[in-house]
Amino acid sequence: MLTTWSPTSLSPARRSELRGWLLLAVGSLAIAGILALLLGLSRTPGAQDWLPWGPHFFYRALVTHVVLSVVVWYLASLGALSVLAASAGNGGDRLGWTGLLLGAAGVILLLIPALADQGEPSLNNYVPVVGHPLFYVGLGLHALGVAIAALRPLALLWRLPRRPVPFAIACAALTYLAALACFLLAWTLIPAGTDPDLFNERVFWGGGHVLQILNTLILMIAWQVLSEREFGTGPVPAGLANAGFAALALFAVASPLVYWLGGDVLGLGHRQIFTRLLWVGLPLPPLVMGAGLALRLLRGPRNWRSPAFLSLALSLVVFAIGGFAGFFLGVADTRTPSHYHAVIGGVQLGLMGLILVVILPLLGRRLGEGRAGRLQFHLYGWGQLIHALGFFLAGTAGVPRKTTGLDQGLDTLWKKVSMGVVGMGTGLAVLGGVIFVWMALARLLRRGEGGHD
Amino acid sequence: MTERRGFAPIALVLASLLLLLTWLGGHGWEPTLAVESYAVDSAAFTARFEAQLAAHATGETIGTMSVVRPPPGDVVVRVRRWEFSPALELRPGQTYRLHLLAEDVVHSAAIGDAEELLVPGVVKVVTLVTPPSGRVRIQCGEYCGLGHTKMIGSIEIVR
Repeated sequence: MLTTWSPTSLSPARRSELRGWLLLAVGSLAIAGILALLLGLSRTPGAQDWLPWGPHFFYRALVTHVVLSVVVWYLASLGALSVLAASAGNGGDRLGWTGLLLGAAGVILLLIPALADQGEPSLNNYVPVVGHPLFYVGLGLHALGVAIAALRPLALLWRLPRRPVPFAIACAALTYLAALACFLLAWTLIPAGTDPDLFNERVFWGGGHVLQILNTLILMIAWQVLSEREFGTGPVPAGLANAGFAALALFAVASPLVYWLGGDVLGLGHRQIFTRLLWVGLPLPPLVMGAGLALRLLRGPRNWRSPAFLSLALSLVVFAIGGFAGFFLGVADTRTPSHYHAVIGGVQLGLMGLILVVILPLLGRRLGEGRAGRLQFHLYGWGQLIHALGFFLAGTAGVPRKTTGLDQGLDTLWKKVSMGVVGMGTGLAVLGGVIFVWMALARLLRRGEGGHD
Repeated sequence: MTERRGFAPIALVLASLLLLLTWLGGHGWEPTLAVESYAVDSAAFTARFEAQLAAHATGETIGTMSVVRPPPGDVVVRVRRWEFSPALELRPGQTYRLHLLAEDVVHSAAIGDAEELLVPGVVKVVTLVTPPSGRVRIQCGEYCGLGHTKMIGSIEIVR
């Protein structure tokens, strides 16, 4: 029941497509990383006074950073995973390439408004936007491209025997399509003339929650694949892993029903029912698999020099702490980004491991034995933890989220020190992210296959 | 061993189904503010707001906002991007009825963990029993623009 990917199991067309999705994913992360460094500095006491940009740059940069790093990065990675789970054939190849081209064109379009200093930024939850037609068209094209590619693994949902990784990818594809359905339902149900800020918030609210299920599935796929690679077996028995994947997909598929059951799409009840989705639907499957993974890690062998082991261990710790912090959130202070950055950091660590340790070698672009591979996991993992800790401490003191400069109201030593800790963690995490992007891009951009260092 | 492996996936799926039904069928999980509501003409509400300001303003300001110290009972609060106005000074252990009107777009009033949506044209009346000391935090919980996270009202308890 182990995953049997090998370089020879992929046709040349599939290898090219896989490389394309990875370039789109990692390239988007590279741009997001540059923006993250600037954002972190602009929130660090002392450093913020030295930056030449005003609040408009901050907000457009923040929107662009978030969309690239928590939407495009994961969706393009789903596109890459769909290549690995799609059955062979020209039809699948055509769908994949169509999806990839649309997905890439969408990213280029959605970058234009921010770079051209056009459109009103909106910091609505999950998928913030720059209010410009090109941004919406770009976002829509990207979403459509990934949806086309994600159609391919769906047949695996009912194919027997169910091997955990292909089945999980199929569940992730189904979850993504459910999120798209939520976006479209919200779009059609929100009355014309609704204030743009409220429109953006409610269009992306339900589907945004479903995307968190997708992100969790991506982490669990990484845990499954890396555990098989490191320990020769998954974190939990195959049947239990499949049940966990199916359970998450079940909540995703049921989510569009909320648009009929949850009352007015602009009402408070509608908002709250999706908040409850994350409380009720999300924790159990990763908790079960995470517990199994913790036991595997404790039993060993514990090879701290292995990138797969580091990715597994750090992603588990960061994700678990972030998830726990989610039960202690305030209304609109920095405890929310503390929770979110830690859980998403855990997902990032898993996905980074999956790409470096497993997917790049499938393209003949191995990581090698260098120290940089291990260093990037430590820097990113511990950096995210410090960053999240700082945000949590600042949030308990009432520092509002999504603000900068004087708006943060850093009027006590506690607040200043906490946000200083945020800046320090940001610096470490960005450094880890830069190393990852450097290592992945250097290998992806290299002509020909088979080389490594 | 085989049976145990077979039981766990079924248990996980059954537990998830139960959670799914709980999720979709669950109502009233979140604490709500006890509210009454009534429709109002904007001009009439502004007149009440100005009258309250004239009668109970302390003469102090917080930023550009006047500080008002009304007696227990009805208090008029104007809600708009990105403020709850006026800044209030209330007496401890008293009952106040906050008449909240969103003037521009949809906002919300979150007090503690409880929240109520505020839609333009409809006044929501929230009953507030003030604590012995400190501040009551009232905050917008519905995204309403770039200043949303700073939209926190000032309600201070003074003797």
